[in-house]
Amino acid sequence: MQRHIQRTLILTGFVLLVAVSFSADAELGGSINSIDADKIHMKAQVRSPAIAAAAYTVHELTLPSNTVVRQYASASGIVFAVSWHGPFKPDLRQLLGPHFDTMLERQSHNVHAGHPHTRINEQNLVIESGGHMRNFVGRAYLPSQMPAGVTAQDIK
Amino acid sequence: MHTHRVAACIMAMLLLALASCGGGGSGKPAPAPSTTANALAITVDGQFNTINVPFVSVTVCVPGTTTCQTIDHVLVDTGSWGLRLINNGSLNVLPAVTNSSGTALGECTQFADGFTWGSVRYADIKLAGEVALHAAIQSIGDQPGGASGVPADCSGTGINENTAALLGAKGILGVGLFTNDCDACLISNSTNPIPPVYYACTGAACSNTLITPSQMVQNPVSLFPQDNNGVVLDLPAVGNGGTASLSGTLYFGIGTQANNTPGRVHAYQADYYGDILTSYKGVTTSSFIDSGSNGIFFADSAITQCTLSLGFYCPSPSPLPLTATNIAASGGASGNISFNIVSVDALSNNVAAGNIGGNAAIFGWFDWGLPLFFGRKIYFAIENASTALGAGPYYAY
Repeated sequence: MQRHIQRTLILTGFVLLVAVSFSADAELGGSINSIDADKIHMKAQVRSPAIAAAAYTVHELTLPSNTVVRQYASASGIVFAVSWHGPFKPDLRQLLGPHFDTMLERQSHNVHAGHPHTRINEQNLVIESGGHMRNFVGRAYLPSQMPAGVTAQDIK
Repeated sequence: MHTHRVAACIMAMLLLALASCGGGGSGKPAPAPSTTANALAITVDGQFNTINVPFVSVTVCVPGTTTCQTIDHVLVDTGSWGLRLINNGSLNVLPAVTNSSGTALGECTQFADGFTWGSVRYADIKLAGEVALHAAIQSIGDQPGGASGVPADCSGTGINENTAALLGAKGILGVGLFTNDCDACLISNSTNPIPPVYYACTGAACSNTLITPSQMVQNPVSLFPQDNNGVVLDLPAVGNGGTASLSGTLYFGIGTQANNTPGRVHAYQADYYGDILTSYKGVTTSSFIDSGSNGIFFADSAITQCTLSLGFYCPSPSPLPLTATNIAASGGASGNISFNIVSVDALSNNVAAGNIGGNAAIFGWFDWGLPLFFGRKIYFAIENASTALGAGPYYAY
């Protein structure tokens, strides 16, 4: 069966996949630290300019837990979206930055039994976390920071 | 589409023959028949302000003794494996699981919306007449080894579900498709680095550690001496107005007694992740069957979303009749499912069970939650366990 992370990506240039721990600068809403660029597997995907050109880079990290994390950075280097998929969730406190506490606050209002996912869908913050033991998946993005032409469907 | 081979196997199995059918159980012995009391009552009563949460009562004893306690309103969860109970102090009597150095173990269990953290303790687990002796369980919300904090790689994954009110249950009885809650945590599998699940804890700190099978929180069903190849959930149908209380049964074992022998059912083999496939409106996606999900969650932008019950569907008119096709992970067996989605906002406040659904948390996965079980007996076979429908892991209905 095909896992969701296996999909065709448009690659430009030489790529090197390295297992790394997180750069604290690469949180949602923060900026990609250029010093870490050489440790990060870079993939550049340029959207077709049919409607509007949308340029962003996707930085993919494979965590020690084998979970794959993607950080979507705009042309100015701001991480406007993140996603994860794997047997364990990543450290969301690190990945979501200040938005982690927002997530906890929203989750504190819910009863959790029967709710095997978190869905925060607000004007300035969307966090979706789902899956089950052995197979967790999620994404988070800042709608106001999304480059033109990029939609939630592109975050995966 | 139904495979005739499966239908023929059902006939053979009804005669309690030793034929092995379905995707791959040939060569293994048929499960031994059992006369142990294997039926545990399920109640869907809306306790803790929930909807579609199936509860059972679980008895745990200090191993080898009759010092026991019964915990009610434990969620029966086919999407996880292992017994986890909120420790309000009463579980302190259960001995702590320690490693070979005598250091107490703690466990972090991740769920999609948070985590549970606490000690690992030994108990004799008693469910109906079935007993799992000296089994490791997770004792939620206490301080393993006296450690007062939660490890950062645990607390960083979401909200700490350490009370019954927040969890929405007094515990979770995981009886899904697998035995071990962390294969990669076993010393014999020697992974590097160590998964963020088990920790050796002292008053000063917890550090991740590998463990042995007897230290691991396992699916209690795997530990029964009989009726140990899976479970069956049997809940009655629910009308479109929902109901304030629903009663059903959790049976232990598949094809080991008259009450857990499948009739005309189809087995859908699951993959390593416990997933199968679902095709809906021309799109095929990963899916799973989970009594711990309180609705059928799937992506369909054509269905009106609720304004009050965020994340749920409020179709108009209600109910909305829908069809999907479930497919075995390997692409073998497939079959259609018809299901109704009723508007959540239209249900009265005291409804504890209803045919509700909502938009998928993520990536369009299809999460077949409790409404799939209403009026449909569903069989969950544990990986590598032998059943007359073949070896697990599979879902069958």
